[in-house]
Amino acid sequence: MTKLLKADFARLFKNKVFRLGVIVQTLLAVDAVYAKYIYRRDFPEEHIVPDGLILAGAEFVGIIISVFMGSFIGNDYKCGTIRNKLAIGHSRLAIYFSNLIVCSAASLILHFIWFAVLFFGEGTGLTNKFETPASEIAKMIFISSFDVIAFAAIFLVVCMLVSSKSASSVAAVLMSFAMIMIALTIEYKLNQPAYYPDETYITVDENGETREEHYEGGVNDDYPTETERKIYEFLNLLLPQNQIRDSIYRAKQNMYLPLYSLSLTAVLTTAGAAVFNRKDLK
Amino acid sequence: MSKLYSANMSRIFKSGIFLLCIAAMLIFTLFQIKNGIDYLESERKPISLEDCYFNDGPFFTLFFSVFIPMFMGKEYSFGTIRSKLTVGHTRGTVYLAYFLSCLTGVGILLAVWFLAGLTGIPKLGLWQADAVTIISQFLITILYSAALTAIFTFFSMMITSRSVSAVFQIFMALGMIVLASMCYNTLCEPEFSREVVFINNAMTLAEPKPNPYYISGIQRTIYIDLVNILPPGQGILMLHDETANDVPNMPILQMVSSIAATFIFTIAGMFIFKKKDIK
Repeated sequence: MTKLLKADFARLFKNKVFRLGVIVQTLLAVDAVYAKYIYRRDFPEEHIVPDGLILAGAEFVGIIISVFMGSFIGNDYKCGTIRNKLAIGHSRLAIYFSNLIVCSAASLILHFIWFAVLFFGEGTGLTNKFETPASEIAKMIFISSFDVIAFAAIFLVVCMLVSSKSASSVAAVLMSFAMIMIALTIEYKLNQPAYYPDETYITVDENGETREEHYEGGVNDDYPTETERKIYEFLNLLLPQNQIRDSIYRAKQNMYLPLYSLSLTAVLTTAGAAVFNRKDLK
Repeated sequence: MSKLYSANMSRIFKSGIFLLCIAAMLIFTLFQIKNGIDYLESERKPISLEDCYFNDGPFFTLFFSVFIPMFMGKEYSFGTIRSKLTVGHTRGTVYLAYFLSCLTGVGILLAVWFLAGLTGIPKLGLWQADAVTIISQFLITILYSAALTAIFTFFSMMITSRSVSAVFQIFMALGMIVLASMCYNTLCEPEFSREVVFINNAMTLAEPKPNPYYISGIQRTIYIDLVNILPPGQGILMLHDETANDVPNMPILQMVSSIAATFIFTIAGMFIFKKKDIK
């Protein structure tokens, strides 16, 4: 296992896609800080805080890591490295776990690059100070670290079970986007009001004449039923992309969230490793 | 040429990714139609069949970007291209046969989209716009699909690694969609913003203030051209209500640019492919 880890880490740092991912993540972080800086310079009377950026990086980690893992694990299959590892006596479980550890480390590296740039910007005075207290920020970083590990676990199942490098890369990338779409959909569904109130809009047209428009309220058909709501709320707690978004928009820091990510990681890894154990590696 | 084409076609029909794309297209279109019917029933506001149809337009880019590189990548990874050249086909015909067979595949995906959309007729009724508009919109859709096919075929033939080409082209497709919608959203910014202010409990319109996000001059022209030229932009403009905001929908430019893109990419692709080192 130690040897496997050493070899995999050596491959990680030599991997071109990983290096590219590090550059992309750094550029995205620099761009985010720069945008806040420009905004503060142009609108000095408004107090602009960079708090919204704290977890935004984790969303990008989900996309970058999907591209990286498709290439990293796919190469293992394509070049026959997995067969070699088995041939010299490593167990399949050890190979799976070693990959999980290396990919989680890769996500965490990308994740912390974001914070490094963000805190550098705050420290050097490019952006204003965070409004969120330091203990809350520490909590957010702690919770989201488990989210990026869960990303790695999710994509690892796909990449380890699909032998074709291109098929697993495409599947992982599309999944990373699907996860964002799912997060947005669930957010939309949970924010639906049960009833629409009666509303009167007064609009003024270009000639200065006012016009009243009356809309009758009623039951909202999009409002989820009791069961649907429970499912959505559970998914909202479980899925990493949802956790990150929830934290961004509602700043609801729940210390149970890492437990959900950890259980997701554990279940997926157990299932993935079990299937990989019986997989025909040709 | 015809042998190459029929060989490609039989491979397309057997490829899992093509069947997957057909299934995805079918589900996606039926879902849009269902959404349209739900909207009609819950909001009781009119929605026409073409709204549901052309809603899908911007997303075609994504479908094609998965299908074409995944299908063509196999040709490189299994060495099929080499075999074809060995038995004496010229590089030009090999390229053209690939383009035409991908075009046929895309045509089948569009046919699936069209037929699946027809299921909305019992609830939503027939198309409501006039015949010329509808026909030109379908024509624009077909033409920009051809342009997308040419673009994706070009990159699939240039990039030898199947996985690199597949991932790269998915991001390219998303890039085109994001760029087109960003340009469109910027163009939709009104020139002046008027605020409603309350004076003695009576509503009055404030003096119009220039909107800082409004763009004009050469920048506006470039944005308008970009939206009209980019295939996803053409998809966005189909649903666009020209009376609501000042973004011109230019069907002639759209058709001409799609045809031009199809030819430019195919000819350039054939030219570069002739000189390419095929290991």
